[in-house]
Amino acid sequence: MWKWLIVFAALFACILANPAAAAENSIEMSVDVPLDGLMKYSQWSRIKVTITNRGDAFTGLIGVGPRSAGSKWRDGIVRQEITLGQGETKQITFDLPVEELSDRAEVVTLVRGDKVAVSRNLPPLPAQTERIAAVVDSNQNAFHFLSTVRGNEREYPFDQLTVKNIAPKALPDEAWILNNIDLLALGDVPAGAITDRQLAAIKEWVTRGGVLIVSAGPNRDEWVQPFRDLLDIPPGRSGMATDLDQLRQLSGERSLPVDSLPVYNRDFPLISHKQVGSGLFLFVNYDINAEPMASWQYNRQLWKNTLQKYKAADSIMEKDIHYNGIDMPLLNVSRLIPEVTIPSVQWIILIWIIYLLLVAPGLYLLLKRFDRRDWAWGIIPAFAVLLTIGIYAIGRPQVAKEDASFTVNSIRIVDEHMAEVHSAASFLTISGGNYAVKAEPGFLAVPYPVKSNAKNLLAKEEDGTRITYDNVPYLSTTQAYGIGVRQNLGHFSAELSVSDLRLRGTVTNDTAFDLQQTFVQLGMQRIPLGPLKRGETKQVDAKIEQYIIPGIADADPSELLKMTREERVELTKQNIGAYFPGAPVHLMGFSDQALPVFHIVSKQLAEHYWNVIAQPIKLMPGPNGRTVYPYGTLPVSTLNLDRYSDPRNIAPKGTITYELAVGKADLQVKRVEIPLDLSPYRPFEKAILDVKRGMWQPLDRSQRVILEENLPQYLGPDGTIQIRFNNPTDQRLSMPLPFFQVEGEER
Amino acid sequence: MRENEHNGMDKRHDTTIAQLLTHLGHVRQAVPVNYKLKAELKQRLLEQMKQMQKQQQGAVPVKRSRRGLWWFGGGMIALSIAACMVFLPNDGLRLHEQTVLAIPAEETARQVSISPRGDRIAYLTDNARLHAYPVDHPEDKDLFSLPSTSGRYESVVWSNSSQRIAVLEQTEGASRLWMMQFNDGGGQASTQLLWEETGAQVADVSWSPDGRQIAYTKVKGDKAEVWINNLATYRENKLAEGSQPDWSSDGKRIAYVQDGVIQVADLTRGVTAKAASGTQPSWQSPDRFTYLSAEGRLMQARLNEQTGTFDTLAVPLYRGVSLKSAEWARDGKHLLVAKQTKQGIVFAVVRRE
Repeated sequence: MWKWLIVFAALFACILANPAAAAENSIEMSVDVPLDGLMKYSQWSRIKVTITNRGDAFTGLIGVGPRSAGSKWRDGIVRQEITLGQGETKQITFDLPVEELSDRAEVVTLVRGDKVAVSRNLPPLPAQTERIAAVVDSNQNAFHFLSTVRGNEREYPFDQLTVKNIAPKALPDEAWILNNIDLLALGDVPAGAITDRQLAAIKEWVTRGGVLIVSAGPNRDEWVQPFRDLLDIPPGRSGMATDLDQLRQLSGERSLPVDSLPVYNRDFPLISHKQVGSGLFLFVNYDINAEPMASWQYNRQLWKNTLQKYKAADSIMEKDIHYNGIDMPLLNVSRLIPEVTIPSVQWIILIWIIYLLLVAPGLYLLLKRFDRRDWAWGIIPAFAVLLTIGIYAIGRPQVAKEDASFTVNSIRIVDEHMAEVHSAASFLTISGGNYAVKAEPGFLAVPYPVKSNAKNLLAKEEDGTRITYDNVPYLSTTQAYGIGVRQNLGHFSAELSVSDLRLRGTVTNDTAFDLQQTFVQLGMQRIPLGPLKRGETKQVDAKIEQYIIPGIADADPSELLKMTREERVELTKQNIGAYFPGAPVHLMGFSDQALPVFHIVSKQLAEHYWNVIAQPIKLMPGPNGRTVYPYGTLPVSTLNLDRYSDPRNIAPKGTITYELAVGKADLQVKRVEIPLDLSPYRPFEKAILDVKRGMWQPLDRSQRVILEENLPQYLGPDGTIQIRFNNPTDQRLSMPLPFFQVEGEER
Repeated sequence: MRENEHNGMDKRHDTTIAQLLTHLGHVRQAVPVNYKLKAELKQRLLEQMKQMQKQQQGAVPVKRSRRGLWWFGGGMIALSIAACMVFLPNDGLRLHEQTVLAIPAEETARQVSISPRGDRIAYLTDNARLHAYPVDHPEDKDLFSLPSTSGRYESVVWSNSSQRIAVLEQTEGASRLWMMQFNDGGGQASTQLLWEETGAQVADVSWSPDGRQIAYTKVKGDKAEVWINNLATYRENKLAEGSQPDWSSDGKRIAYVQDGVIQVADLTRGVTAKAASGTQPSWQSPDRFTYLSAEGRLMQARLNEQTGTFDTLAVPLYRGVSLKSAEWARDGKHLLVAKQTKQGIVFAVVRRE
């Protein structure tokens, strides 16, 4: 008998094993990441999975998660359902914030039932600080000189660009994927190798802040033609350019390897640039790969100066700082759903203490008095259950009267047609259970947390991404996050100028929102303008502070604890949108108008919205024809510091050099004022760099630096002024950054 | 036959019962009954029953009602006392439990300061050193160096968060306010020159609650003025003629001394009211401050919201002792006092009840 049992058990095990082995052999899976696998830590990327089923039809789950999940593939994974017929091939895409992919290797796993059928590794993640220049060119060494572009911020170390060659087909046809590179250079590319959709994505990416370099030699009309809407380059004028002064100026070298260059258009500059939306387009009027220029020893110098002159490095850095994968402050604010109050833990504890110390003993004594102590076994637990039901019944309406959602949108206006939206939404369902949330078409959406052990599912549908939440406990909140582009949200129109410490001008709200609060963010100063309805124009005449020294505030931390929930919410809201990289001045407005990005499927709930709308603006000239950028509006970066110091604390006998980005104002600078006579700077020995003589010139202890006629003496070719501080004491001394004011005329 | 036997048995039973009754009679006769005791018991029982009847009908239950009355009365008294303590306005400051500080006798009380939570003390010594230690653990002393300058460090004042201390330096033509920042471990992170005033002497620095502004006395020649300086924007405004400003914890009022009279400036409404005669105002709460009378006695002044005036009262502390200064910590619970003794100035921390 037992022998037969063993035989049957072995047969049974073979039958079970076979399907898994068969699954592994019958399913082909490949994983692809656009841009030849280039990903940036601060952006979203796409993981494209192609699955071919050579076996029987099946339904399973496919997910992305850490490699160490192993057999416990459910841990920390984002997943989608998949159904494959026999012989069918499907593509599944995961659009995820790259920062959600762990530092350990990630895998894509296909699961049937509870068994892992197939898994594949993802490409390794880049370093967080890596900056990438993607080059599309048949010459593998093309644009190698881009590696000389350098960032200067110590806070964001950025020593050079990494140049990577990619194939034309690796270019994505969606603009947001291009955010995974910092600069795109297109050189010797066969006409037609880049599709129309890819071109549209590139142009949108430039408008939204990308940096694009296109190089074209003679007779390349077909290649240049698609870019004419970025920069109007007339065709049919190929020939030899003999005026090469621009190259001499940019490289700083008088002697060039050629006397003339074959160019695409002989009437056009050799290198031209155009600000396109928030981005930059550089057109190189000659073939970058053509010798002898391609091998010229000063090519690096030429391109280093070119990219710095046209602020390509600044664009790269500033764009990268802002576009985080997931904006946590938005998520935090969205959790604070209006009209939903958090139950007081103290009250609940108090009720239970009263029950345990008074009610339950009282019941027992009462039963004892009536000689019914044996009833206590039933009555006391029954009272506990009644108390729980009572707390729920009474407390539930105190927390929330109905299902509710709160969507918080951060809207960055790119131009009058386009706005980038980051959206965080929270959903509170009283009964919990299973439900789905749909994002608007065109939005990338993920549940938050992105990876979890809960059985949340993603599904890409034609009308938007669907997120299914599974087994949500009652009175619990779920969250979702999305990014996308919205058209026709309008824009602000502003004509503002600064003079005599006053901000004057007009602001018109041509956005789609009625704004409850509007501000002008002028560097570190926020100037309130009050409410502004759609279409309304407001006259502005506000006093501005001459100086703003940050980091002075020092309130008692216990005061923050005394704030009410509403006050904390308001404080958090005020801090969102305060920082707008690359924009010394921007307009900002708050609105609670509905801008739906997510909606819950098959449920009615109370929807709340809150939007932050921000748009960079340019200051206009004042009555004297000059534009003034007040203190704190233009950046100061740390150039050099000794190893014991940090940007605001200088070690005893230590030194720090700051670089004042005067040229960032994009003006013909006429006057610079640096208030080094203020008290915090006085203990230091100060010097300013005389760029003409290449020497440091000492400054007096209480000297305010005002540069006008002598400005060219100190203003470097890259538009910066350098100030050095030395701490002569035996104490570590701190000071605020040396902010400055710039006056200039339009170029 | 059986019937005969049954008849015989019946006859035997009758005999047994008769014998039993006879036996019982004998027993009864043998045990004497205390009829007297029996009567007494019966009487007591009847009395008890009557008493119980009366009690049920509402007759005064003497013992039990008295006990209950005592309990009730005691409970009411306790409740009254508790209610008085909770609900009756507490007009007077009650201070107790002093901790004498181990600080060397100094010439001026400005060189000692108490932290916002009243748990730490900082003081200066001549050789440009700043000492700080917990009040309850004077042995855990931290020592910090101040920047070497040609001036003399004259006073110290703790900031709002306990992470910073401001130190005032006087030189021959300038006054400098240095701010020392502590790191998370309590060590000295860095020092910053917040502000330098040339051509005048500065004293009596008081921080606003948000730490962005200071109120101080500026002395030029023999003229003393109260000024407010915004350290974030470097805007300074003169508040009034006077000295010894102190900022209230809600930031709405500044008390200062003008010609021996304490004035209170309401910053929100822009009005100034006279409070009392004295010096050294120090806010204990947003509507109450203490000050020193001409005799060095500790007094308190409380704002009457309805009339806008200040009601003054003596504080029962150190009777007969002349105080040199009395500075409240920001928490309003700890008071740093400096009293003049024969040995010099002695500092102590007094806690409010």
